[in-house]
Amino acid sequence: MSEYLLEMKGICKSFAGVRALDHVNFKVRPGKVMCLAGENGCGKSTLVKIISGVYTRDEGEVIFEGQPVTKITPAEATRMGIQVIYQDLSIFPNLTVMENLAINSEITAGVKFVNRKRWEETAKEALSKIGYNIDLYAKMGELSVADKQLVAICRALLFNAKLIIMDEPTTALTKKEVDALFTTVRQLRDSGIAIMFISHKTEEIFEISDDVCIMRNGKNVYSGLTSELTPDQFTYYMTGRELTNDRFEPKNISREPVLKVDQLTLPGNYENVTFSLRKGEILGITGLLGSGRTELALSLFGLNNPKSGTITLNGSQVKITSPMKAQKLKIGYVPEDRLTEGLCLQQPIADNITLASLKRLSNALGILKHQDILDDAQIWKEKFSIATDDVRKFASTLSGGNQQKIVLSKWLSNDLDVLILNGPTVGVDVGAKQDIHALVHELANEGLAVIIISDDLSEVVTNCNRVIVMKEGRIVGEMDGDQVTEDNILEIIR
Amino acid sequence: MSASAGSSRLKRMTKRTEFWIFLVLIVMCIFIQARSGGQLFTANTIVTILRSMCVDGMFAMICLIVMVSGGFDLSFPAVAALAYSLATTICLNNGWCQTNPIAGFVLSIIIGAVLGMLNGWIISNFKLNTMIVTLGTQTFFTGLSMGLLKMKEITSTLPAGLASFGKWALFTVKVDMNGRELSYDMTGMFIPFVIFCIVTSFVLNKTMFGRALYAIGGNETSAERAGYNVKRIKFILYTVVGAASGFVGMVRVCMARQSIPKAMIGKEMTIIPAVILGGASIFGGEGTVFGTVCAVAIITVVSNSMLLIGIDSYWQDFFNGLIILVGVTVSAVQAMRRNK
Amino acid sequence: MMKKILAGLLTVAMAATMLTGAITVSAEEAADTPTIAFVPKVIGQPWWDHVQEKVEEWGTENGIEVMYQGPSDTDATAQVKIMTDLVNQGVDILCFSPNDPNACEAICKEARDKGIIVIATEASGMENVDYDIEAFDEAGLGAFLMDQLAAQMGEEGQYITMVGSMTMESQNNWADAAIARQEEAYPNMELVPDKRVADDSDAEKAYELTKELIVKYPELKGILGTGSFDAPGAARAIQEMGLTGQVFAISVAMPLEVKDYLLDGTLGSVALWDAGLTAQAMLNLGVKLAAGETVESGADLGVEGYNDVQIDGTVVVGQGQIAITTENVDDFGF
Repeated sequence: MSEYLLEMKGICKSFAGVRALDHVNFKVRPGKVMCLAGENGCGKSTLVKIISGVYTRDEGEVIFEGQPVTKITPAEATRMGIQVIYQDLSIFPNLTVMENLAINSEITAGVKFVNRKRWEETAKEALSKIGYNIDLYAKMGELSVADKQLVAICRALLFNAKLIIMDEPTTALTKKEVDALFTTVRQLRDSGIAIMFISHKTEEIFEISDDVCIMRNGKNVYSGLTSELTPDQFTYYMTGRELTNDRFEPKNISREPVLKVDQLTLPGNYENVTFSLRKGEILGITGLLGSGRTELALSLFGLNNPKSGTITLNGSQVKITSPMKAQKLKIGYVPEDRLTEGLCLQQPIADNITLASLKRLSNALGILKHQDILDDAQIWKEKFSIATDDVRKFASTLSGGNQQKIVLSKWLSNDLDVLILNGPTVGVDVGAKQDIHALVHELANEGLAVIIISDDLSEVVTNCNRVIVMKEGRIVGEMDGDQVTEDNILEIIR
Repeated sequence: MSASAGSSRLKRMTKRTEFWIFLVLIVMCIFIQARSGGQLFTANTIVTILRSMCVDGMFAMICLIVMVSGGFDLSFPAVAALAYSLATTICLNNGWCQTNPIAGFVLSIIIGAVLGMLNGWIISNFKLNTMIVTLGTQTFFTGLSMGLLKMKEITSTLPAGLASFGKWALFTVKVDMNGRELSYDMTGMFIPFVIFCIVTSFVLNKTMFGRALYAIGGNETSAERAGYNVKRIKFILYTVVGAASGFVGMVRVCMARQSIPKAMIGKEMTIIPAVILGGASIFGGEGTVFGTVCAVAIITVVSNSMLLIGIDSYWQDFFNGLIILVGVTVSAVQAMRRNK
Repeated sequence: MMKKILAGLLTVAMAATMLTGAITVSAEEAADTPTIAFVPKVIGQPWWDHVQEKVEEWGTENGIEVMYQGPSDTDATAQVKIMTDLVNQGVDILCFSPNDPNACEAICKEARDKGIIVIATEASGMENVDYDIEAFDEAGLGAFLMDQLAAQMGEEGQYITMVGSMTMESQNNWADAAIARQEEAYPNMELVPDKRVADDSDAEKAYELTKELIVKYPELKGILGTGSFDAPGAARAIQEMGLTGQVFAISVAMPLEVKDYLLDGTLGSVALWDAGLTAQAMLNLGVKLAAGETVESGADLGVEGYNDVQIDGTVVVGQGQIAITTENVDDFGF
């Protein structure tokens, strides 16, 4: 018996002449968590699909439990004990928890008729594997993402899984849910199952993994123990460049505040919120989920009208009743979920960038000036180094970080006084994250007032010269300059 | 069973569309009963309404299973029309179906299955939007029937076996109305309707094929990953649906005692809204036989009671439009809640 | 294999071509008899087979052979092509029933410019014709239906009207005319409050409506339909409910479709017009015009129902509506 559960040597795979995987080697140990890391498009998902039998490798050797495996089909992979939990979890939102748990094994067993009793037993057995308790008859679609994930894990365990591959499982989870997930992952690890964890979040990788395999451009650039790696080395391997984690130093703060919020209250959301913001500042608003930070941000953008209190902009009191009004007042907002709220994925990049400034780009009759739109988009493409060769391509062709850049440029292409960024780098890989941060610093130093709303403390600390901490709808702390440290924030939050 | 389990079951029930649609049906019947001076809950009216429900009800089952799988079939009326027109013409020309309707039904089912296969083949192989495909085949089948095959209306010359099968009565209700003795036949076509409901319900709930339809309607990619052969399932589904359409079309020929090639045009526009009203989601993955039957009952009762309660028949269109709006809105709201 | 398919296709194409030009009765040139052509909407279909029979009958009686040529399909283009050939052959009288009146205007103008007499039927609104003969007018047909129904009902009792759809203009006009006739001639008959129902030109719907109407109006005695699906559907309901002899229905209908109901007494009669007689009237009118005669209102075209025609401009209206009863139900072949 080999020391390794799965060994892959010299794996190559090309699509239409383009090499997606180039002699990739890696090993998975039983009872260990192995992280597969890399930026978007580095070949992670291709590799997973080869392991799960969706794709066939062009060359290379696969050894599972000491035995060489010539060809892997999806059915074969299942039989060997390989289970993939995809990012979308592969669940059926319209079916019950019980059906979701049992249906895969029923299909694999090749039965023709439904036996409720057996389904229920299967489902109960699945839940018992990790001692998880949930209403078997609840509709899957009504569960939280974390619960859905646990159901998906239970389902995978039914197949006597020896290797569970989890594809970016933490993307849609809150910090607390991530902690719960990690507890489950450790539990599975301790029972002897190998976990392959796909992620690009540095902190998570260091927290959970024993081994790590880092990929870049279809090659694996590092594999070995996580403990032998420092975060900086890790980032270097991921991005191929030395990234500097420069803290933001405000250079150009105005004397008068551009925005003043006084005693702003919306019962149930936030209460008596008072703060001010000057040009050239980056103000962080942080707090746990449900602390009212997002609700407050939405109010400043006219999407969540406050009950009482005042907002003063450039010295005059304003009422922000709609996003249109906010735009007119030169307030920009970049939402948390860039995919659903900020972007039209199936529209050209240029149209997305200029969406908020069409008024400027159309003539007196409201007819759009196409060349101007393209020219405008081109300027932003260069300024933000958006990775595309043609701004007429669809936004969906870009990676997450570049999509975020589009959303940013959409708002910046209008002249703004205040820019609100809600979770600006959620789901963005580390390289693009740096680019976005550098850009925001530059904008602030050019005289823009920026608010960053985030629960990513390291992000808040590196980027904000001043931080407001919220808890249960109220401001519970404010700090600036050198006082802004993760420890200080944590102390207040807890 | 504990009290809390009972109450959670009740809660779950009230969340389901078919529970509400059933309530609507009951309330509406009571309303019409009152407005019409007690003429709804009479043996003769019930027999009449059940008769009207047979064909639409069977078509609704066909739409239901397609919609559960996340598809739309706009072509079933065209499939039915071509199948029965061609089958009846063949029977007529060969002198078949003089004593029993079997040859007509077998032919119609076979033709329907072949047409359904075409739908299934296109949909499963090219992974196209089912609504677009069936919109295309609908026009194609109608063109085939009217243009190339030049299907004619068959009325007085309808083979005797088909006509007499349509007259089959399970029992006859006799009522006395102002001295007139009226008799109402309870049509035997109610039996195929009941069988359709039972079979559909069984397939959807008790077979892995049925669960596959729900799974595909819920999330096609997941269904594929779970090990279902989605391509094959869709092909089978549309073939079966085509065969069933051919069968139902023939039932209608027998009941109406005439084969009119154009009689089915626009049928999908009343059946599909009914199915949606009955709780089937326009996004797939939801829908039950009970809800669908209730919705068909609502539509039939209303259309059969317009005269009784003195509503101008122009309002029929208004009502049908309203049903589409209500059904689609409910369906969309549910999907929104589900994906939240 | 390919050759076989090709051969098959060719055979079909040839057969179609032959059918189109099929029944050509070549006219022998005679100095004093005019050359006449009759172009129906379609050939090889019962309604027009009957017309052909009547045209040939007229030819024998008058010693004039008529060229009877039409498309094998109710296709406007094919019909115009046949008419063009006939005009180029140099006929003296051209009788026709257009599939698409507008499509025929050009060739009719050409024909009239050449001095050909052009007579149409079911072509109201056409400009380039000498005359357009219509078998009946709206009022005449409506009154005719009402007279028939009233006779069956004993001139008393409740009745309702039925149409294919509320938006079909002619059917609704006939029904209005029928109501007008009742108000004028049958004071003991009464139109029920619903006045009119529509069956979507579907006998099944007509059947269901009839059952509902009888529940809603227990005294209902008559159903006057104007669409061809009304009487067959209503009759089925009347028969099934055992109301034969108590409730009466009538409409325009094809004889064979209602034959069974006529024979068992469910229906007393239905209304129709004989397009064969219209054709004969057209031929008589053509011959008159060719002989240099003129016609005006009150003229006799020598055919039953056309003995006292009304003429308004180029439109000639007869009283060609006939009742189909057990007596003549088999006379038509449709």
